[in-house]
Amino acid sequence: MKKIALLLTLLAFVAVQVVFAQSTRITGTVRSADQTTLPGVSIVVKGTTTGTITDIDGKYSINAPADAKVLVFSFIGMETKNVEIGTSTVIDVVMEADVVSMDEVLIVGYGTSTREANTGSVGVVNSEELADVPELSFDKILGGKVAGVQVTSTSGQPGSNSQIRIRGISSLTAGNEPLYVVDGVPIMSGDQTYFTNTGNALSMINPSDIESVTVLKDAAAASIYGSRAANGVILITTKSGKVGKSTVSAKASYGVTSLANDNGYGIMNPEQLVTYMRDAVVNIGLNPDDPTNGSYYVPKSLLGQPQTNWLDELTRLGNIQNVEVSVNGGDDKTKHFTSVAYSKMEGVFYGVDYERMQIRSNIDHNVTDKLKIGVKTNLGYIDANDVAMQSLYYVNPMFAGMLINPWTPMYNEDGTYNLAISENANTNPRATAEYDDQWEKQYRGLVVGFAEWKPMKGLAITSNNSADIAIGEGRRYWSKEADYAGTATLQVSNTKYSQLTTSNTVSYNTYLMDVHSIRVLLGQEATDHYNNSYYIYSPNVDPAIPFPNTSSSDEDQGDYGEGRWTMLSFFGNLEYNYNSKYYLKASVRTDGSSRFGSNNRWGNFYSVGASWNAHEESFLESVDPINTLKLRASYGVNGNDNIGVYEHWGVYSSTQYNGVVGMAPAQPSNPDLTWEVNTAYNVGLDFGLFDRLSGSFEVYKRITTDMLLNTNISRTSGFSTLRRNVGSLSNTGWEALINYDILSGGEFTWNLSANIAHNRSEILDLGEEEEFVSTANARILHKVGESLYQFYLRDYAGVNPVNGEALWYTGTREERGPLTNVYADARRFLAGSPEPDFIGGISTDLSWKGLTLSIATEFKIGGEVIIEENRYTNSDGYNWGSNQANSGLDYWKKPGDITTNPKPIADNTTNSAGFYNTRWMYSGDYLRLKNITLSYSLPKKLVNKIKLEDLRVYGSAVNAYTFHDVDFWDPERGVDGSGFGIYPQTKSFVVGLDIKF
Amino acid sequence: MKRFKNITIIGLLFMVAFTSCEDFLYQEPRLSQTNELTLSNFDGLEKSVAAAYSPLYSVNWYGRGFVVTADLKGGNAKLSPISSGRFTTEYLWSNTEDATSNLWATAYVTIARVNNVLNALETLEEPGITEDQINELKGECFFLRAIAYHDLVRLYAQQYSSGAGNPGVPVVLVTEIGTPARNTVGEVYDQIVTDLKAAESLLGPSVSRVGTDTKAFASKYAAQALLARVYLYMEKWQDAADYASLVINSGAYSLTPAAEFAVASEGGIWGAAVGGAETIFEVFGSEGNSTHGNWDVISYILSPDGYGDVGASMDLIDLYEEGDVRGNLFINTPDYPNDFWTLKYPGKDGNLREDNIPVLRLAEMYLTRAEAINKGASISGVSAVDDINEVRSNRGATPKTNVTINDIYAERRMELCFEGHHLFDLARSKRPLQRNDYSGALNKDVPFPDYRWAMPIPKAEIDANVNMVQNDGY
Repeated sequence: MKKIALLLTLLAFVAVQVVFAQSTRITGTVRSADQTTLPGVSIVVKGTTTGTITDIDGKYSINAPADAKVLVFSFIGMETKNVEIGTSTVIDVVMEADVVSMDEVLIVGYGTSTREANTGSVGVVNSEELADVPELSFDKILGGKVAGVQVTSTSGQPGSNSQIRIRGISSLTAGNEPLYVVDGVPIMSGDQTYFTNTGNALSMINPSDIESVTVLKDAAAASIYGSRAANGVILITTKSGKVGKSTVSAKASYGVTSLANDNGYGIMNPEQLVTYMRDAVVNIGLNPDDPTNGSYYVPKSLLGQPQTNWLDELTRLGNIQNVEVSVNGGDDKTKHFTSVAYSKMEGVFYGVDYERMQIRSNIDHNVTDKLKIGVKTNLGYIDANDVAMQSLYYVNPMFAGMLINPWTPMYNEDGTYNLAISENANTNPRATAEYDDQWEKQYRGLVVGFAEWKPMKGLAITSNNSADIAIGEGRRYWSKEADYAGTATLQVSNTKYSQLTTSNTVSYNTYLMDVHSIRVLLGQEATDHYNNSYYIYSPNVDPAIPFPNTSSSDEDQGDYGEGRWTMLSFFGNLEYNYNSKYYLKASVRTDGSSRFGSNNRWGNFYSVGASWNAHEESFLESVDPINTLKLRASYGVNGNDNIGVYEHWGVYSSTQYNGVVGMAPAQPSNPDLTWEVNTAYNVGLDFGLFDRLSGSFEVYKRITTDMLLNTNISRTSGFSTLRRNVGSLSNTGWEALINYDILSGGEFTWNLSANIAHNRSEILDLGEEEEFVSTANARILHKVGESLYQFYLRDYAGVNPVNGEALWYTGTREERGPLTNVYADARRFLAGSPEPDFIGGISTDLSWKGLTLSIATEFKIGGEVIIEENRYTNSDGYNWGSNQANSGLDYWKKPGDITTNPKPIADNTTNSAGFYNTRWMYSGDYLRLKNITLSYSLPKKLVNKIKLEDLRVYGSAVNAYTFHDVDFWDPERGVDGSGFGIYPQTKSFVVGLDIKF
Repeated sequence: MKRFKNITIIGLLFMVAFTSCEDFLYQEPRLSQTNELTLSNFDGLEKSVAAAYSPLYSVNWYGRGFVVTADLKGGNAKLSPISSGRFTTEYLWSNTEDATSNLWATAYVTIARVNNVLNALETLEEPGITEDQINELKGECFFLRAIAYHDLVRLYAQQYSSGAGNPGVPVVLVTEIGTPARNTVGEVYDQIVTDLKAAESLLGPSVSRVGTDTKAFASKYAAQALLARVYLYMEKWQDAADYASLVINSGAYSLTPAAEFAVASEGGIWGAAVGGAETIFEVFGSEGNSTHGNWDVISYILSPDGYGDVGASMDLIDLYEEGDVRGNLFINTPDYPNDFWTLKYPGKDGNLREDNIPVLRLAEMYLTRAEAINKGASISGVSAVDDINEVRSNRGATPKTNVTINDIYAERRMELCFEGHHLFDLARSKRPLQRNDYSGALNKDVPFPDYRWAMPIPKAEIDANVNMVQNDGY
């Protein structure tokens, strides 16, 4: 075999010699700026197809025709270099690293492309932007980075999930999360824990291991992922080894975390609270100094007792520690990238911590010059503890800390925790944090094996195969010590998720007549997802042996859950370009999903995209200021199948009656159930001017049809709802992105980039209904002609200055119709939407010599949020007998007072603090200083002396400051604007050290 | 050659991939069972029938709402001083299509469950399954379908006595996702009678399925007793009397003696673990039932130890004479010594979350026969006063020498209060509602006829079913 290859090479050599009898042989060595030799650099004689690559020592040799004038040297990550041949036969070249060119290579579905060739809407975040921010997972960093990508945190807790919405919300009841693809295979995402709020599947990928994150936003970019691309696709490429000397990079950082509170939100101090409560008692005509008044006895002497600031006692300074080491290297046969990382976080609440160990090893190997194989392995272990949050529950320190009275002591006289806290259902969250367990241990692994075979020029056959596995073990233990009744209750769980994927493609690319470039790709993909969970509930366990073994078997309860879905897909992709000026791209995909009925299991999806690189036209080539001018347009259809795994089945499930097991219909059958369809249009313009200003502007429209809605059906069917494909909605918007190198080339560089996106959603059709209340959130109404989410609330008109009562509008605000003091008579109206009008971010990098200052901000304009907590913490006496928020202090005291809050009334039953009312709705606008990092890289000369390649120190502030008007710690509340009891966003200040050798 | 081989291999792989597509994409739920599989064998059908009983215990039906509504609207019950507002709408007779009984959805669940079985039994061929086994299942289905339709039609329509041509409820015999229109009251009753006659002929004295409470499953006598009731509603006096006689003369049941009637005890009616000698058919109440209303079960609403929202009206209490043990079935509380709550649902072993609810018991058969005889039926050797006295003597009340129709109505009211009868008894005999002990703001008295004697059909049904027509007046 080798001999044949040698013979062929010789023959080719001879042939070339014959054809180009008058050619010149040119040799040389290619090095990088630091003088290391560069293997694999491509060298082409400009204007011909004659080319070669450098060998392991960076040496090359090429036969250039006599009329050849220029050699083109190119290498990924390096600036392409054109060298005049002149008369020399030895040309040594030094290549400069090119930050810009990294952008030029685009990771796209099933392959790579370039910005030049791109026809779709794509956003990219590179490793540099991810590496510095001390977050556990990249989703927390994406916010404000990519135009049109809304990242919403429902919790500030370490390891918690994010909600990512690309170009609005496309589905009412099917999933809205994008598809995540890591190194070519779709992975699991979402929350995968049983008890804790730490199950973000994405946190298993160390942000430092990521080479790039690519967001595919429109149909042309995403539809190669067809069925699952309706919500966009996020492609993550992890770092690979690079040919050359092995480098070791080590990073360590440490930081502290505290509750973000930029609006002075907090609790009343004891004096304020006593006054407030006494006023509330007086307002019901009783005497607060009368000891016979039970809970209405609020003497000033309460202030004489020792006071506890419960909020302070339930929070602490959290911390973040992170250590990681990675090794990167390789030769022309084998390349490797290996990293080990350890992170530990202590939350700002007692009882919340998070520990993660993670190992990645990416290896690829050239078996022959035509066959490359590799394996990318990511293993991790997470051990996380938390306390019940995300609900208004008594153990929630965020909620209880607001409500427990300052004169209620934390400890009993004997030093044990005081559990007799009547205003908090006899629950002491500090005791809970100390004695109770609520933890989850997760063992995760993602292994991707791939092979790429190039049997002939232009033809590539690839296979990607992956196993994504997550095993979890959870425990929730309510201890005897923290339970007022003194019983110990245990819940334990075991969960398992596995997702196996195989993805195989064949591609062929060729040039016809030098100017027609054609690439064809055919592929197949199959996914098998399985999960199950075991759960045991054991009341009254022996606190000495707190396991299910010691509870009575009569009382033990067990549960088992299971789900499996499969998907099979075939797809094709055609890319054509004429002379790098006109690009055309088309893709088709057919997907079969086990989630749909036998009649409609398969869905066909397609897209077409075209682009025109105007700057390549002769009439613009001479216009110097224009570097890039590109027009793009695309149209395509994607699908969504993110519903429960067995929803099309008509099933019976087990029931009990009269001591007999029966089988009862549990779900109506719908064999016609099929894909929700998302049709997207996109037009975009990319520009680059004066070598320093670049940007793009895009407009889009997405229309969702055949929505997977639960529709009402006649009850004579024995059911009330059926999941059907009805209704439609649209999202329309635009995005703008600009990047300006204000200063470049010199010692001082300054770059500014900004993006902004606008989206407006509209419900077009809901089948037979005009409107319905969201099943997930009773405050939200979905109504035809309105935006997707509308808060449907009673209209608060403020306080009556005469008597301090809450007033409500009965008619529109404009009419200022009659006001009423009866909550039930208040009009209920569409008060606003949680969907933002504009989202975006501005970031800037300034550097001088080794010193760099990076600032990244994120903003949201428009969109309302609801702070349900305030119903209890600013309750006008409704939540009687507990502490209140300081924002409640502006309350009515005497006739003529103009105040924001009505008069407090002990045990208020007027509903002035009612559930569904605009009083708790605030403008969710914010501008967040998401990250400020100041770093210093020591001069090369200096670090080289201590045998290092790089040494960098930095300090970073995360969520340094947030400008907002929400009467709460933090304005972020989840996509529906209504989360409650949440762990608010925190601020962190981190210092770190990176070294490379 | 080599390339050809490669192409062949790739081609083969694709073929294998395509042919196994449908298998790969076929994922059946394993924690539940498909309709087809459940209904394809006798075991599945048998279990489906067992499950068809459980909606009876729903809070919309005998588990609370249906019973409470009938007594609250009928004037036997009133909102108690500790009411927190539950059932105010019924008390005030101010139901609307947005605030009406949810029996509609619940009863059609039972109908769906039995329809599926009846239709599957048509084609079932399973070795080893006998005709008797199949007949028994069918009999249970017919009985359950009849009770569901009867309760639907008497709640959501004007009574049969007001006109068989009035709109009833849709008679659905094959359950599917459709938009059926309302049948007439007469058509609904025809179906009920057909089903009950079939049940009577197919069922034995008890079913072979062994449950905790035998009386909670259908039987021949339960079918006959329900027929007696249905004929009374249809004013077919002779048929009503004949069927009541069949049950009385079966010897399978006996009236609870006065000494035991007002005591919660095993073998009695109230608070017993299983139905006693007087019970013909009842709903089994247990926290072990999959359908369980938790804190919304009947005992919570009717007992002052629970929510106690609904108490007894003095209009009812005043009917009992001294010595009538039925008058002892009420309690008051230290805080409210002049208010009364029924003791018919004291909870099993005092657990308020578990109570059997009697649906058919022997006393009703005597009262039905007495009324039928009074209205023209004749049973040899039996008079209306005999039947009334049979009941009274077992309740510690003094015997009557003769009875008027109003005596019979009163007896029925005293005997069957808080069991879901009085509203319908008034309506079928076209009597207006007159309440003396009433604290509501409106509708103290309701004339007859009036549109409000039929409950409005739930709005959700009107919205989802283009052929559904709301009752007049709503």
